[in-house]
Amino acid sequence: MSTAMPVARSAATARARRLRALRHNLSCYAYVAPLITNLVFLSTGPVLYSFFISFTNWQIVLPPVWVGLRNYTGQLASPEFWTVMWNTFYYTLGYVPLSMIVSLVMAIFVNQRLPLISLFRSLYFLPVVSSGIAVALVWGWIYQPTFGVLNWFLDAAFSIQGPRWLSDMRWAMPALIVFGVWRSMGSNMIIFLAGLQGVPNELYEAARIDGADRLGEIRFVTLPLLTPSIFFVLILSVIGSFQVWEATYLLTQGGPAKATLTISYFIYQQAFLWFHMGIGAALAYILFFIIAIVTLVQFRLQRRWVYYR
Amino acid sequence: MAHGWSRRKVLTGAGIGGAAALLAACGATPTQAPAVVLQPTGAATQEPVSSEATSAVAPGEKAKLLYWSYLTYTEDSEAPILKAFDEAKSDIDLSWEYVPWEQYWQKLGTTLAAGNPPDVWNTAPNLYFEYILRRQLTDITERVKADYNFDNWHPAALSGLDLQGRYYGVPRNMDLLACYFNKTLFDQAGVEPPPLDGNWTWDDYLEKAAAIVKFHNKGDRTLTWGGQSIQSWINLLIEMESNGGQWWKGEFRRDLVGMEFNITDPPCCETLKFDSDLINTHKVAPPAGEFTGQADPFLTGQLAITQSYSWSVGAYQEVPFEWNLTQVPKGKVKQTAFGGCDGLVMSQACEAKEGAWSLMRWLIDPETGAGFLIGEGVMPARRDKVVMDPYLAKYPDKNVQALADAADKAGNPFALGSGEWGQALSDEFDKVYLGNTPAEEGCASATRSGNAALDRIRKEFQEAIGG
Repeated sequence: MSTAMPVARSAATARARRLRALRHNLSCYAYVAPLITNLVFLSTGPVLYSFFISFTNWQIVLPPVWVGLRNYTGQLASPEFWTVMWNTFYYTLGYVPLSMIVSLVMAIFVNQRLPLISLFRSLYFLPVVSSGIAVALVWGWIYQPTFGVLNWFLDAAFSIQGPRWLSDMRWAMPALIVFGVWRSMGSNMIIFLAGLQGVPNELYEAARIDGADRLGEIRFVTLPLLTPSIFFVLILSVIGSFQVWEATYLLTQGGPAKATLTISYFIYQQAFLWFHMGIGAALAYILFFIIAIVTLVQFRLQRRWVYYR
Repeated sequence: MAHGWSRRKVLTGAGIGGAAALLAACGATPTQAPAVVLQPTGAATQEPVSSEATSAVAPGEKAKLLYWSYLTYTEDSEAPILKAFDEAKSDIDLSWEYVPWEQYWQKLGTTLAAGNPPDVWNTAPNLYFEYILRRQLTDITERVKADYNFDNWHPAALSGLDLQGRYYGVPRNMDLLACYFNKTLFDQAGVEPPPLDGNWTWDDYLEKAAAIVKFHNKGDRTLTWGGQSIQSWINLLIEMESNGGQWWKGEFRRDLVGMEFNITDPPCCETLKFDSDLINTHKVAPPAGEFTGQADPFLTGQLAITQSYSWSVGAYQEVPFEWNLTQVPKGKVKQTAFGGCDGLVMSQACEAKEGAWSLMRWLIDPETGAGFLIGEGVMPARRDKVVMDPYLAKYPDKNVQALADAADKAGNPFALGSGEWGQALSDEFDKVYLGNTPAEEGCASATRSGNAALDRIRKEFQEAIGG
């Protein structure tokens, strides 16, 4: 009795199976090919190339010249860099807590079953989706020292002569922080709202039975269960604040006298205005490392205060 | 899963292959233009450009030219001129694009880096030297000298495009600083307006501004400002020169070789002090940000004397009050103000240089380019009668002769890296204007910051061009 035929049939079946699997896999890769092409050529590729550029003196219209670590060491030794980093940290330390508190309070307010609550949620989200140029124009008018509504209000309500805001070295950064908080409060509010709606009602009932008032409910039920959302918003807010660019570009261009010069705008100046692409790239990677370290520290610390159910 | 075709292998291979392809493409060296050799003394020289004598256009083929301009508001008057050129030159296929100022320089830089810039483009004085020294423009000195009489141009127009005796552009229209004044406000206040012959000093300026300024009856705000302080570093440096200040040491060179800032020169400090005192002490000039978000205060009658540029003659035509203009006041030593020019340049990458030069001539010659020069009301860079007379006649009731007079004495501080060192100066001057720092201290810190920027710029630039 020959065993050749069953073996041959088995081999043919295996080959057919392999071919089917190959065709299947190839068709899958064909479907994701546009995404991968986009990632490689428009994301990963430029990121890798910018890392290379950060080690060169590249003046855009001239070939890059290798300079090693000079762009990094030069910036770390530059007083201007530390001014920029101070401004960026100042913005972060002002923006993050204020933004989180405001958006959390707003989320608590809109987390109620009231008539037209959806309208209010949409209105609070409107700044997020509004055109940057348009909102900057409006805030420029709000901060206008002579005719702006903010100084008019301060004068009318408190008889205070308001500062020159965007033209005052002491007040320009706080002004940008308020603008940034207003611009992003809607998106943070939505995240907190989703977190709030995930808190089981039974826990509130149990808290009320135990004698908790409204503040007690927030303190002992809402906040602990909201810590994952708070952590998420904290991470995003810190990263976003380090990368602040829109407010600086639209309202102050880093002035007056570098009072609002943040690192993203400084990168833009170096790379796109002053022909120092290599320095701009190095600054971008320095920023990346700072954000990475800060984020890592936050992840390490979250074990102490974030409660996952 | 097919054998030998794991997801990891496929993705890794695609990533490596794609990144390699991208690096190879991006690492390609663009065509090298001849070096602009910087020398401590004497003229900058450029090695002979062999492509000047040859053309990459095959016989019988039309040469393709691309022209860019940022003067988007002139499209209506300039486009017919370009169309006429395209129709007149059967061997040239011309296309053109108007790019708004805000995007122009970044788009231009991108095309230069990619090796496909426009062949001819409109340039402003602030970035002209950046592109020359980075070998992006064609030296057209011999063409300009052969085809034009330099006496026909305002001196300020030529000096703004002159790099150690070589020209890389032809001037087309001037940007000159002048004083525009609201004659109606002066008449209402019973104050003599600024003289049309320009025979006035900065003390006269202060006196007139102080006489015009009007405060709210509560005294808490100003209803009408008398004048304006310079504030811009570009104009301030020229004003320092008018007072005898030498804000640089050594020879002033657009390529920065051997230059150092010297803003601690006493006349420079006095100029900055006078200018900042207009805001902080005399309170006749508005502080920075006073009119943020508003229309030009001169147009709304809130500012009696403004310092603006020659293009404002056209922009102010519809204002509802009587106005006129005159030269910027005399300094202690001479009368001068900022004067730069917009010009046309030819890209080093242009493959049809003869055609490009004929386009440049077409645009600036009055026989063919008059529609732009006169039509838009821009101040022509040429001063020959055939060009200036129609310009002067276009505004018979305005003292545009003041601009023509100013063009003979104007100055322009732009040089290599002026965006960067200008910002360094500006950041220190701003502290003085804000009243945070005395003028002497501001000048000293501006000198330090400016010199640190110059050192950085020179070092990076020399390294980049292989010097």
